[in-house]
Parts: sequence; structure tokens; C-alpha cells
Amino acid sequence: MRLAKVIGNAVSVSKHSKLEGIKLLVIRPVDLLGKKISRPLMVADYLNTAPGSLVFWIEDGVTICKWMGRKSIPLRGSITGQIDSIDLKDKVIEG
Amino acid sequence: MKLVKIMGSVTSTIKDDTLKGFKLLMVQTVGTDLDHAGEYFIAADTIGLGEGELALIVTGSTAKHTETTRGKNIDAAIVAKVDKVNLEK
Repeated sequence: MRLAKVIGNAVSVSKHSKLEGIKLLVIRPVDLLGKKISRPLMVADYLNTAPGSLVFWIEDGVTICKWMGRKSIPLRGSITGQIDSIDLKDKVIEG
Repeated sequence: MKLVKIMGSVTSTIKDDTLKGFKLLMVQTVGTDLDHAGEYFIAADTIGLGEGELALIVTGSTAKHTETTRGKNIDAAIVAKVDKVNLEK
């Protein structure tokens, strides 16, 4: 799983039928200093994650298919956890 | 597989149900000099390691190929502790 910060959400009216009912969030992959490391991405969220949260996400398509009980959803990436804290050697990062 | 150094542990209360019971560790890929730092991953620990140790992780669907991670929503798993790396000059 990869570390990211939630920076927004997306609303789409016209979309593939299999994407119906899936909440989409915009995340920005970050490093341990909170520095952005790549362009923002859009991923599925089924944990009701709040904007600004530090999260980890899985880069696959199977997770959301299992959650929705549908096959072949054209979507890659799902938030799988919200971070409370990361305990490092010399510091603690709060989520 | 990727050679990584364990940076610390991750605490998460709200998470996917299939991740419950797993120790999640923050790891960073390293080069053969064991120092050159690269990408970060949050990996599920299948063997019981701690901060500062060297390990091997598997990523992608291969991460589901251990007894404990099978069927779980995991795409990075720690599968070995690295004691020593021998290189030819």
C-alpha cells in the first residue's frame, strides 16, 4: 500500500454504469515529510474518508470489485485505511 | 521482490476489514549499499520484524501469495528478513 493525503473529491454524473455508487476521492501521494511525490490520482473510497486525511491506498482493481460485489469495474486504486499515526525512529507522524 | 529498510510502524483504526490483525510497517526501498533511499511502501508484516531491520517485500498481486495474506486486500507484504547481502566486486 502507498501513503497519500486526501485533497478533494470528484463528482461525475455521466459515467460507466459499473462506477455507480462508488465515492471517488482525489489523493496526492506523499513521502514521510508530507512532500508530494507524484501527480494527484483518483481512487475509490468505501471507508467514508474525510478530506485532509492521511491514508494508505491499494493500487489494484480487485479490492473495489469485492467490496461492491461487481465484476470488472473500470477503476484502479482504493483507499484501504486511514492513518492514526506512523511511529518512526526519531519522530511520530500524526494522521 | 524489493530490498527495503523498515522505517517504523503504522497505526490505523479505520481500515479495510481484511487488514485487521496485521502489523503494518512503513518501509523504504534501498540500494545494494543499503543506504540509497527510494520509494515508500506500507507493507503487511508476515514474519514479525521491527524498525531498522532489512527485509524483502513483494508487491502487487504476488503479495497475496502467502498463507496469511491470501484473499486479503494487500498489495505489499514483507516475506523475508535479510541478514546479509553478498556482492561480487
